[in-house]
Amino acid sequence: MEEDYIPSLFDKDDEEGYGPTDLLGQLENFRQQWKQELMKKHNDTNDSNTNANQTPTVEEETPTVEEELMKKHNDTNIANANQTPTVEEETPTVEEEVSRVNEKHNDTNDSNTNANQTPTVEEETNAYSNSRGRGKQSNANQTHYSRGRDTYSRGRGKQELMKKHNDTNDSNTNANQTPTVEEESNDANQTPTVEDTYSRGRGKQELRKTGVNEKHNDTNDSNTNANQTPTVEEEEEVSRVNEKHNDTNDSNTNANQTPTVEEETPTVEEEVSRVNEKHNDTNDSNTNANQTPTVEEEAKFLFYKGMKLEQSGHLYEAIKYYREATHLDSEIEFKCYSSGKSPRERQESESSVGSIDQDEILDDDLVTHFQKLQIDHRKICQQQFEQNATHISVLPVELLIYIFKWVVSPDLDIKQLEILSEVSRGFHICARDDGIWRQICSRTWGPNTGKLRKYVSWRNMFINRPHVLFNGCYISRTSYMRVGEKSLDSFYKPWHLVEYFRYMRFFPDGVMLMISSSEDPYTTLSKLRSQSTREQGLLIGRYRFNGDRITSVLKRVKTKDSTLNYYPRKRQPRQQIDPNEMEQTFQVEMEIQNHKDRCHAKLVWLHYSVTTCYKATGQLNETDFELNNKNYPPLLFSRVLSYTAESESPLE
Amino acid sequence: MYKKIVPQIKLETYEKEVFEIDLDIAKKFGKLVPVLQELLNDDKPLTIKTINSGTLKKIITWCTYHKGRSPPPEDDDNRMKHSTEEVSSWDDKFLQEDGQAALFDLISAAHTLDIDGLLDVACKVVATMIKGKAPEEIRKVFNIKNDFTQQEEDQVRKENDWCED
Repeated sequence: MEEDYIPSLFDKDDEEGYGPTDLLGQLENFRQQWKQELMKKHNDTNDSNTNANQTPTVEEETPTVEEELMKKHNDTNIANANQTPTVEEETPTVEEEVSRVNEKHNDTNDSNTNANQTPTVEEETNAYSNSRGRGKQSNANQTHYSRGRDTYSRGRGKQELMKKHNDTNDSNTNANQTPTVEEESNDANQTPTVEDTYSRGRGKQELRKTGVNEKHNDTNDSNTNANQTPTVEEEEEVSRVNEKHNDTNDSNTNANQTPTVEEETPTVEEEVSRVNEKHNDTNDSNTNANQTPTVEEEAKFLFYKGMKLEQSGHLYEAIKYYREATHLDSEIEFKCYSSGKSPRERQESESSVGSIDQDEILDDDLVTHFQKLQIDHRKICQQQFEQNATHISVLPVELLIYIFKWVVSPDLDIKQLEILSEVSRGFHICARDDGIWRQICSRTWGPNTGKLRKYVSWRNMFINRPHVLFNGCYISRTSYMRVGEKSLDSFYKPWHLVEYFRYMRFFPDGVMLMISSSEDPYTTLSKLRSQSTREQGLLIGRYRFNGDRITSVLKRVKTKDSTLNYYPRKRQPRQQIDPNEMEQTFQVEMEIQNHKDRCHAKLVWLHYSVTTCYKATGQLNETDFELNNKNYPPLLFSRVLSYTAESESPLE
Repeated sequence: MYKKIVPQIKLETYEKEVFEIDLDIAKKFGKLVPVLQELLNDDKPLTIKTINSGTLKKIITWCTYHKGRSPPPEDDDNRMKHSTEEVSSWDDKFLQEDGQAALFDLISAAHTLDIDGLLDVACKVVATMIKGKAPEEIRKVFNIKNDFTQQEEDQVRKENDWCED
């Protein structure tokens, strides 16, 4: 028998071959690594790299560098300004580099900022700027001329990028200050004495002043102040560039100067992280102190970018990134891989919360934390008791996630997904899978889902963006007193306490049910389990979200009797239209609010009207209901287990 | 050649047991489709080390039952509905009769061989086992160790606060 030739396609022990699973895992792994380097990540990401190189002066330990990055929205601009004041005669050599990268949008803007100060002739200043956009990497070449005390920097990379986009914003910032004895500068924001600096941004030859932060809606201001040195030789221009976009861009540049060395200046990292948190829009920012990004880092960045795209199905785009990355560093794939984790670990899903620097904020990001803990474990969870039979942990992560999608189902049983995240560490990682949450969001908002923008993760979006809850029912109770009929004896004056409930049930596919009933909730709730319910008095309609409001249009369902009338028998002449026959349409607008700690658990009436159309005459009649808290109290949410007891299909 | 009236392929399981599978059943194994022709012409069995004999037997049973019972298209016809219900109740029974371990074996195998229908019904069974249960119950059902530290558990709860009832 030729056993040698037996093909073994599915041999798991084969370490060389990567099944689809391994590849996926590999990708995942790379992504995680990259994340650790990045402050935050998004679909719509902006990266900002900040590199500050400082060469300590003779006496002082730290040259002070401050950089502020401000970003907003897809179209962002960044401007940075750095200054290092020097106290002593010795020239503090400070190099600061700020590079900015904005990516991924048609209307992207790049802004490069370079601040260089060379107080002395000998010193070299490096200005480095990276710009990455759409698979393109362009290094900004900057030329510095050291002429006496003049520094000149020009971002060329920017220019290239500028051409690429129609709507671009740049902010160039150059701030240089070196307080030298000889010179004085009249710049208010800056150090009293300033070296000559000269910076040019994208051929416009503009110098901008830093230290101005401006925020406008729909405005993009980037102001940078460059310090002007009143030196004889050079002319300086100060200009402001404001650019307007539909999208708002703000770029603020703060130039912080430390007049004295002793003062503490916030470190670059602090600045950056602070700024990042300030904005809803997330940015990636790399902060490397004392380091300029190496080619390898660049390549890695591109490589991860490519992987991300590949995962989201943009293969063509991904290839471009891969190619770029390999071009920069031919062994980048190996490098990324070798620093990776175990294959199983690599399959772990990405954390939903942007992971930040490893050590510091570990506690804030459980997913990352667990992923690290699980490096040594090959299995997604452990057995409580020994068992020889197959355990759930044999399932690869993608299968577990698939099962979770069955749990969530198109009915969006989010509660159960959150419960799953409390089972074990491995389950937690799977239940926070960004892919699941992205699908949940797109199921909730449909084509209006949009981009992540200010939301850090899809889960975050689902939790914080107003929407209704699906795994239960909104209920309000209305009660009022009514005078009863007089009894025969006049001793009693009967009053009736009338109590009824109003129910609203929403389905993820845009259908809602509304019914008022005096029956006890259990009876009614079970009737609202499916959309095909035909209950007397039930209103059925469609809703849509409009910010934190929900608007809907409802009609009465046709109960059985009316259905018969609805389909006239064939060949029979249509029955005479009842002159009183009418069709009513109800318009409801509610506001979604939080109730105590529970998100989106309360619906407050904003508008309720009914339009009556008399079929005979075609006359329309619209009536607004008078909304008051007594007759139309807010509806509160209750989870109804039976609504999500079964799953008919996985979330897609 | 009388032998080849029903074309068959050969699969060898983890236990080195060789199974002969009819071609029309093997066609349901998505992973095998590209190599089917090759396997037909080949007398040597294909080794699948990750699948054991019991599981493969079950898979063959399942595929045989569903052969010709492919899910009906969306139709309101009652008769069709009835047959769908019948099939799904057969599935439920079939998937659960051998216990959880067999179910996970089946899921892994269905995933490996890429048998969509089987994977879905099996995942659905697991999802049903999960639904409506609290974390502790889920751990109990699947024999999962709670590997959270107290602090971690508290934090997870806190993160999930937003949807507390």
